[in-house]
Amino acid sequence: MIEMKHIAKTFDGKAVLRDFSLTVAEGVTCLMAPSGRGKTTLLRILLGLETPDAGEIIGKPERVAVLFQEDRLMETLTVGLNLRLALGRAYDPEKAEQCLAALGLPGSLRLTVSTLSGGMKRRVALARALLYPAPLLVLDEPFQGLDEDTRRLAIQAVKQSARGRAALVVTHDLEDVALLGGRLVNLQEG
Amino acid sequence: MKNKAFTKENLWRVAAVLFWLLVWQAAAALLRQPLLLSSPLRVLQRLFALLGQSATYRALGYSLSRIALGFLTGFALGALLAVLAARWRPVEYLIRPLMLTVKSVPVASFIILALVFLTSRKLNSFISFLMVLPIVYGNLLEGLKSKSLQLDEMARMYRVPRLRRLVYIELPQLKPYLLSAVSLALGMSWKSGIAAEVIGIPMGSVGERLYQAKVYLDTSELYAWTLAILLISMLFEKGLVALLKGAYARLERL
Repeated sequence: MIEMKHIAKTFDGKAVLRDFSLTVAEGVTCLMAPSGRGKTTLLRILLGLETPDAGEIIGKPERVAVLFQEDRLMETLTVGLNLRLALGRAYDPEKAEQCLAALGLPGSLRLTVSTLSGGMKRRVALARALLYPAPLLVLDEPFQGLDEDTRRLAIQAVKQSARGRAALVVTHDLEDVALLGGRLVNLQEG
Repeated sequence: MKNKAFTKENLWRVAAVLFWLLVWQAAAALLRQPLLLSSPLRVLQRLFALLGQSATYRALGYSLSRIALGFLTGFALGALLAVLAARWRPVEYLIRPLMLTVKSVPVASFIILALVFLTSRKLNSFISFLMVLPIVYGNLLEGLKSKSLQLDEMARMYRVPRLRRLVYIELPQLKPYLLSAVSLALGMSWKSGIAAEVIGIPMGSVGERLYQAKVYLDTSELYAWTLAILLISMLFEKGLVALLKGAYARLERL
């Protein structure tokens, strides 16, 4: 279980987060956040990429599997190499193929990322996070740019991957929350 | 469709070169002063004659090895300084005036200045080194500065080891800057290296042969040597760029 307690962050005199607390337990926790409510800052603090002005994080694991709002893939490399690069020794081509197939991308390991569509890239980035062996999974708008069918496949894959570990999923869509199940936290409410 | 367009574009390129060769031939025929303007056919004849002489290859080998040495040392130091400047801002500030001076001062001034403390045999390497240094430094520094912070964060989160980060994340991002640096610096190293030889006149160099051709008003030989330098410079540029692209392609397939 990861606890973020009384987190505050100010940028240029503007308070982005004020006394925000959040607990991420095993299973899926959905974070609903309208734009400009400090969602990105909160995730960056959780990931250790930003230091909070106040507050603390308890129980944050060393390894975190993350899907950023941007895909952050190496465009000139193949899908397989992108996965291998992030997963290191944990990379298993068979598991990778299974995960990609579950996301509607069978046989795509040898494809170069630059040749993929936006939705396909999103799913590759999602597969990278899902395959990464870490006790905490942080997914920032994982289903953006996906059509209805692939979105449902992706939701199933996330649900499956969240078994036995904590997953924090940021989304704008209540239907995603309903399909994912789990707990809902609204950032607006603090 | 693409192949057809490609062939058509190539045809236009060849036609343009042929047009200017015809203009040159016509001008030479009209002028009838081979001492002033040698015809392209005469230059080609002279080039083939030169290619039959072992002294030509010795001169080319001499110049090529020294210019290549200057290019490689300039490239290595330029790359090292770019990495240091990208890492530590004060280093960039410290190096900037030096690079600006090297870029702005005419190459002839450097050649004459360098002749004061260097022998003519070392001059071409030094000048080639000096011209390559700011090009490589500038290009690579720009590339290093524009590398993606987002990918850096991704690598950090996924704990990608240093060497893998360098090979798969940083080097691919540097590719366009590296290719541009190689292309620009190679051309510059040849031009400046030969210019240094023409002024320093080291024995057995291409520069010496050019200088002799000028002294004896042998314009055909002058043009033939110029053509040879141009071809070798082009070959080197294309060869090295192809080598780099090949290395990148292999890296991306690994």
